[in-house]
Amino acid sequence: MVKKGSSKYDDLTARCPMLGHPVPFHYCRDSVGEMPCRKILDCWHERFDVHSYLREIYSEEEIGMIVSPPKPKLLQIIELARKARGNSG
Amino acid sequence: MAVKILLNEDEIPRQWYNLAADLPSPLQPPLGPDGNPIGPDDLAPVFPMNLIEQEVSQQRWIDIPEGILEILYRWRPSPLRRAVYLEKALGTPARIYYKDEGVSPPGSHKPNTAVAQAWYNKEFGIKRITTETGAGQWGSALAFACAILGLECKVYMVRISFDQKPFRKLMMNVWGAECLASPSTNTQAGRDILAKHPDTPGSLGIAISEAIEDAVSDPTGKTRYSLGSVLNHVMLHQSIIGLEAKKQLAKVGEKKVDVVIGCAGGGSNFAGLAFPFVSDKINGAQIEIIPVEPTSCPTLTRAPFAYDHGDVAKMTPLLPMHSLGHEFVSPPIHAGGLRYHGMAPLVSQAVVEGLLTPRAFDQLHCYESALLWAKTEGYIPAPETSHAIAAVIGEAKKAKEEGKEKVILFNWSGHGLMDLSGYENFMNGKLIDYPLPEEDLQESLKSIAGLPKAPMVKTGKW
Repeated sequence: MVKKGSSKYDDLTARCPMLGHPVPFHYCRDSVGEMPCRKILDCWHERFDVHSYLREIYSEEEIGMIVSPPKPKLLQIIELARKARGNSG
Repeated sequence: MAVKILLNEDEIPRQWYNLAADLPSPLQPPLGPDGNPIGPDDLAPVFPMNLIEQEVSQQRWIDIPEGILEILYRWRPSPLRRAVYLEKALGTPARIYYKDEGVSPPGSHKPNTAVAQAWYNKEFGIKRITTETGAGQWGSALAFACAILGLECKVYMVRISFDQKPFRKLMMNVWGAECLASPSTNTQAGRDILAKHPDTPGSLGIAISEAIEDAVSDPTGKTRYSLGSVLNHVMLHQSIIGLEAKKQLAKVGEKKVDVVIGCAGGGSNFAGLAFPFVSDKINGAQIEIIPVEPTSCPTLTRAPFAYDHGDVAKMTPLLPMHSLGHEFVSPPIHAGGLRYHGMAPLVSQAVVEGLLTPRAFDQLHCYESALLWAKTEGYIPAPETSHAIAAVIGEAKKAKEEGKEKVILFNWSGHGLMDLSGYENFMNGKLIDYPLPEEDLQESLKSIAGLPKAPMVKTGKW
């Protein structure tokens, strides 16, 4: 079983299509310290069997959540604004 | 033979074009979780009302204020170029033109909307604008616009990008913007993340949260947020690309465009060039307008039009869009900019009407096309741009077979000098093609079978 906190692929680098520059694999699997980036399968499949790597750590349900599409941008913005105003008010 | 077609400042278009006004069937509004349409009041804390009005406007032509034009004159009208070297290599009778949007001070098409958004914010009395950025292309475009207009600009730059891309950050600083590494201690969202993960390199999601929180929590009410893609008013501002192209084509005697092509990612690139020509098509012109997408994630070419939840948890509001189903998992493909679950509603509705004829190309074919372009025209295209080039070459070859002198136009959306690893993988035979099998598509679509269906409103003219 692979440990969540490390990977032998951590130092490999690939271009992040969202940020627009190369990032190491450990950024994609752990960018906010919780779940991997939703594009992790897209960006790494050419380099190694990233799906099998994920399966060693996450359930299929969790993998489904990881790679689920983002919410529409306008709706993301409204939700974030409501949340922020709730916190400040 | 002219290979660079230029316009003088006094020839610049003086109005933007809004496709929403001309769609034969009206755009259906996005719905909230309660089933009610999202309205201007929902957006008022985030955007100035003059931009919200543009976001929901049904007005066909919207005047470009003189103050905006005076800023755009720095690089606009942008050149229209003719790809004569590719034409010669292909031996095609087609004439291929492309709009060069890389000539702005920050080096992309993004200032077309950054300048407009900053100007409208200032008109509304806003003093300060926030946004998020990754490598910094959008952040630098907004920083440039705010500098010209004398507005404060705060950019939340994802920490890993902040550390790795100091030059874009410096560009923002040169233009007077404050650029913070995100997560920061400046917002509650940032502090919460840092408390849990003090060494986090950040993400775009966190940076967006910070930028919006910064804007809506300003007690003076003089701060707003700005976004550089996706939204209707962004596409409106980008329509100047296609409007200029029309004038430039006329200048070299082209009376008719046969084919307009763009890569269909976030929308503004394709829409900016194509929507003015969609208007011509609505009014009777015979033009083929082609948004291009990858075969492995065909949101436009094979998916039905439906209301679809935006996430697997089914918690997001509903938005009419082309959909592969919320349980659809995109198979891997290299051109990251095109991997979208759904498509912009304006583009979706134009497809439903038959005004656009989307096509899908596999990535190997796109890379082959990109190499041919690089060896003839010289420029190395970005992977996303290579999808459009694949379509252009296909149309040019078709014109040759038919013996027709077609006019083909596309939008040059950027170089691929930051994407050379993709070329390396292609040239080393490491890339694969993954068209979505029909059975996989049908299985995915089962997930939306129980959702309310968007009515297929269309006139049937096209």
